[in-house]
Parts: sequence; C-alpha cells; structure tokens
Amino acid sequence: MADKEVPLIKAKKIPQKDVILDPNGFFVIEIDRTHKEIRVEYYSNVYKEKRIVSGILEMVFTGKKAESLCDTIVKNVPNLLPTHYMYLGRELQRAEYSLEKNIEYLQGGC
Amino acid sequence: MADDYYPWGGEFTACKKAGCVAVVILNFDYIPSDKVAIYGSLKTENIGIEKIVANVISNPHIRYIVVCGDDIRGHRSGSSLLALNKNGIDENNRIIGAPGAIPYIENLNNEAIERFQKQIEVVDLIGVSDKKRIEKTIDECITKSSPSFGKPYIAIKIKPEVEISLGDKRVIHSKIIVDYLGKINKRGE
Repeated sequence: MADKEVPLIKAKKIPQKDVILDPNGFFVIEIDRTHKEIRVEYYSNVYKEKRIVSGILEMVFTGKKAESLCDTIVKNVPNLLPTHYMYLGRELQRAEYSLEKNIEYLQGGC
Repeated sequence: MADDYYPWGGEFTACKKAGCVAVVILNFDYIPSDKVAIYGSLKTENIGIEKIVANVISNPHIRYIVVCGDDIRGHRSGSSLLALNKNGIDENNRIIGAPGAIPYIENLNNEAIERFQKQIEVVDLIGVSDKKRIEKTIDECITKSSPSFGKPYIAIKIKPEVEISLGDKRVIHSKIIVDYLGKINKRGE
C-alpha cells in the first residue's frame, strides 16, 4: 500500500472542431523581418450574427524571445482562457525558432 | 515624413520609398523587382485587407496596387480587396460585393476607405503567376508616372508605451520630494 495515489493521465489533443474560441479576443502573430522581431497583435472580438468575424486592434507586442513575449502578454492581457495562454506559448516558441533560423512562419490553429 | 510610412507594420517588405506601385501576392512565392514601393502577401479578407489599406495610404507616392496569384480559397481575399476599392463598405462594415466569408472592415473609418479609393487604382492580376507578365504590368504603372497624392494619411498609429517607474521620486526642492502619487514628503523620510 502506498501512502498516496496520484493519477497518471495520458495526453490527448482536443480536435480542432471542439476548440472553444476565447470570448476575450484573439492574437495575430507575425515575423517582422525588417526589425528582426516577433510581432503579436491582440484583437478584441467583433461579432456579427453571434459569430466572430473580425477584431478591433487593442495592443501590439514586439520582442525577439517567446518567454519575454509570454510574460508581457500575461501582464497586459489578463483573463484569457488557460488553453489560449498555452496555445500562445506554443506558437511564440515556433515563431522564435522561425526568426532565429530565418525560415517561414505561418501561425497555426489552436 | 517617410518615417511615418507603413504605421501598422507586419509581414511585408518596403523597397523604394517614392515608388508608385505596391504588390499584393496571393498564394505563391514571388519577389518583385526593387522598383516597387512595397510588397507582401495577403491572407485574410478582414484584417489582412485593413493592414494593406492603412499602410498604402500612409505613403502618398503609392498609386497602384497590383494583385497577383491565385485567390485564397474560402477567404477570396484578393477579390475582396478589389471590391473594397470599387464599392467601399456598407452600414455593417461589410465590403460591398466581396465574395469572401467574413470581409468586415472594423479598424478603419470611412474617411480612410475613401482615401484608399481615391489614391489607389487596383490592377487585377488575380489568377496570374507569370512573373514576366506581372513585372510588365508593374513597369506600365510606373510609366504612367502618376503624381504623389499629397500628405500621408495615418489611419492607425502604434504608440510605444512609456515605462513609468513607480519608485520615481521627483525632487522639486532640496528638502521636499513628491512621490508617484503626488504626496509631498520631506527628504530623507
């Protein structure tokens, strides 16, 4: 008998069709090759007939490193869905790699 | 003045500041000659188009946008850009006559769109990826030598944030300091 039992959970990706869009907005991530930095634009959602059709530009973040961008976004854009923060972390790491290796970056879905 | 050009930023390449042609590339790899003012790809029929409009009207030398390559399936971004230039937007901010799924303009006002319509002639090369033909069209636009449209139109400005140190204690007198809340204290307290 162990003093304590801890669950072991196998990771499973949520299918794209089941991803919940964040009511607090979305991000556009690009590489600015001129300034050699990652550019992240934060938009609040614009709804038409109950669906998100676009966004209002609220803030722009720039930086070279995923970790500094993550810290700054968390500080300035609170209350996103946890899955959204984790998505941003993954994407920004990819963007940092693309910037460092000078390869094309295309923002992926959730 | 040229430092004001292209205020929105993004994934594009700026070349000749006084060039009169911008090139919008759909769905294929192509680097235009450096005679053009700016070039880049277009993906979405909402924010993608807004960025193009905001950036090109900031440079009054740009008088033509050459749109080339195969239009983006579903988004129909290239055709939606042409529709914006021709028809503008309706009362719901939807581009009139745009075939894209969600062609809404939410970050630009009517004045900016009217400026885009007056300043820019969009040259429709959608479906064309023959680089020689595209370059020939660019040359034809340059040959027209259309004059600058006047002053830059800045539709959106990304303003760098000023870092404020909360520990900043400004000295106004050798014995008095004011903290960040405006509270007056004696020096050394």
